[in-house]
Amino acid sequence: MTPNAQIEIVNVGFQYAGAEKIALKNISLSIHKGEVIAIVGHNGSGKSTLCKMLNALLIPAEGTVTVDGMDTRDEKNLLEIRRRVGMVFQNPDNQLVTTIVEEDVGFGPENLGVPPAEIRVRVDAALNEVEMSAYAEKASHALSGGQKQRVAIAGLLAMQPEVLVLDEATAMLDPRGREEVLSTVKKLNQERGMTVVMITQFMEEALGADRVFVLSEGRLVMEGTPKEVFNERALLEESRLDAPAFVKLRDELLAAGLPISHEAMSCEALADELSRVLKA
Amino acid sequence: MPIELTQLSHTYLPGSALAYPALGDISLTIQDGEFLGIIGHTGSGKSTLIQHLNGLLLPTSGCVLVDGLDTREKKLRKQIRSLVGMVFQYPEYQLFEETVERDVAFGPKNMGLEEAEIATRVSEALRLVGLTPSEFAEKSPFELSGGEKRRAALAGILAMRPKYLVLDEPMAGLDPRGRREILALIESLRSDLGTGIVMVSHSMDDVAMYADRIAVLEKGSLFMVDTPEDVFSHSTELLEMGLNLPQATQLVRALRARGIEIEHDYFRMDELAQDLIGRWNHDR
Repeated sequence: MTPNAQIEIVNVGFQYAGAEKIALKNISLSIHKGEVIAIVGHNGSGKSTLCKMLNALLIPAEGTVTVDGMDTRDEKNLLEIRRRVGMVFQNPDNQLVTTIVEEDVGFGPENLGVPPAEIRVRVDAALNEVEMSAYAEKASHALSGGQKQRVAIAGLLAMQPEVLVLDEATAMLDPRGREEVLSTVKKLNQERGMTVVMITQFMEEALGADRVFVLSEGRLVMEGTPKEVFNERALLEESRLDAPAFVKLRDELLAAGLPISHEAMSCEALADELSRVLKA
Repeated sequence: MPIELTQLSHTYLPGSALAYPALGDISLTIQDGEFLGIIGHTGSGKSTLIQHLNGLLLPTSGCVLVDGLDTREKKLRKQIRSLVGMVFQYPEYQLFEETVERDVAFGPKNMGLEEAEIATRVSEALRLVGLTPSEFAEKSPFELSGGEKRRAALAGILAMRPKYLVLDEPMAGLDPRGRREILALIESLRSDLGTGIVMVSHSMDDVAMYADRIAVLEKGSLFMVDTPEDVFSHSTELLEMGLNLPQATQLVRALRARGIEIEHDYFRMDELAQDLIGRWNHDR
């Protein structure tokens, strides 16, 4: 056991009924309070399966998953685990359940038996947090994809979770919608210390994480800071992944002898380095 | 012969209180064998536009001619749909048959082709998308991986041997290698078979890399249609529309903001890299 781990995954294995392939094999990792974690991996690598283990939507066939010490296999923990670990899925159209935005946000706390006056307070605060207060009484179907995902996040916030899990929550959004969702999540992490677990196919999104886990064929093949992980270009390639474009450019410039920092991984950082080197 | 859009306008629910003008006065010619990228913010009319290319939607005014065939003519529609293959977002959600082979055969069957011809086209289409018929034909589509399902769905369209292929976000949700493979496949259809490609994408880098021309839609109008170089030299306007820029263009802007003069509007990372390396070597 790692001390202070909020979510602890120990030797987890899983296989779907009737499937030939093993979905997860011998995964061990821990996630700490307030961390931003990115999980990347090829299609079918087991990312979503692992994600569903975090709030007991799936129960490991082997090994254990504990959330704040609560074992997901123990049925009496389920409600509390699902309150603490909120999940946002890929398709914005599949997760809003009512027709009006504020009713949707109140749906979770209502099911938890929260008193109506308290629900009102939580719904208002949650919508405010994701900057959707102006849409409280609007029809949810008329929102853009990014707005729908933010309402889905508000619905989780109303349950006062400790951890937000985003399972490719930006995959179906346009660039503006992606930006809206990412900045909302970033704010929740920085201002409220919310633990964030993001599953993504966009390597650029993983750059903003504290730690990155790389899954391939159901196995955990790498873990480390974005810098450590994206420096392993060969291993990424083997895992059907790729380094972010600016990391690749940095490496090409370094190879050509430009004395820029190995730390530069984003557009802005690279521009700073290049302007220092080229102006000198 | 090309696809010609002449003063195309489309209003949803015309004449009702909910009438919504989605496209206004679009004139555009898509040349034979051309790779046309279409970019625009959500709600800019991209989906409405592409659904006109094979008569799924009909113009409220103006017209669309596919190789001279008017999409408004009901009796021509079957012919038009076999000329223009349409691949929607997440096409694998539309796989429904018990085997990959039967799914891919669905389109050619509807075209009324002979059994032997259908079989030829099915195996041809599967090979084109990189799914070996002997390995995949008898599998259930639901046994395939995400990337394989996408390819199988694409094969179902290619089996109709379309002259033009229209794709809406064909790489969405795929892993980085899957994205590269689908893009390479699309490009090879164009270069090897001469298929005209119309691709809608939010990924500016992919559009920048492959398109001959890019059409930019903004609030239902055609803002511009030009080469990637010319389109991305309008980076400020594109950002104002809520669009992204290719990553090379982003870096060019960031360098210019720091007082480094980059004369050329690069949109490809490899070309920008050569320029930067050249500067470094020259300075020394």
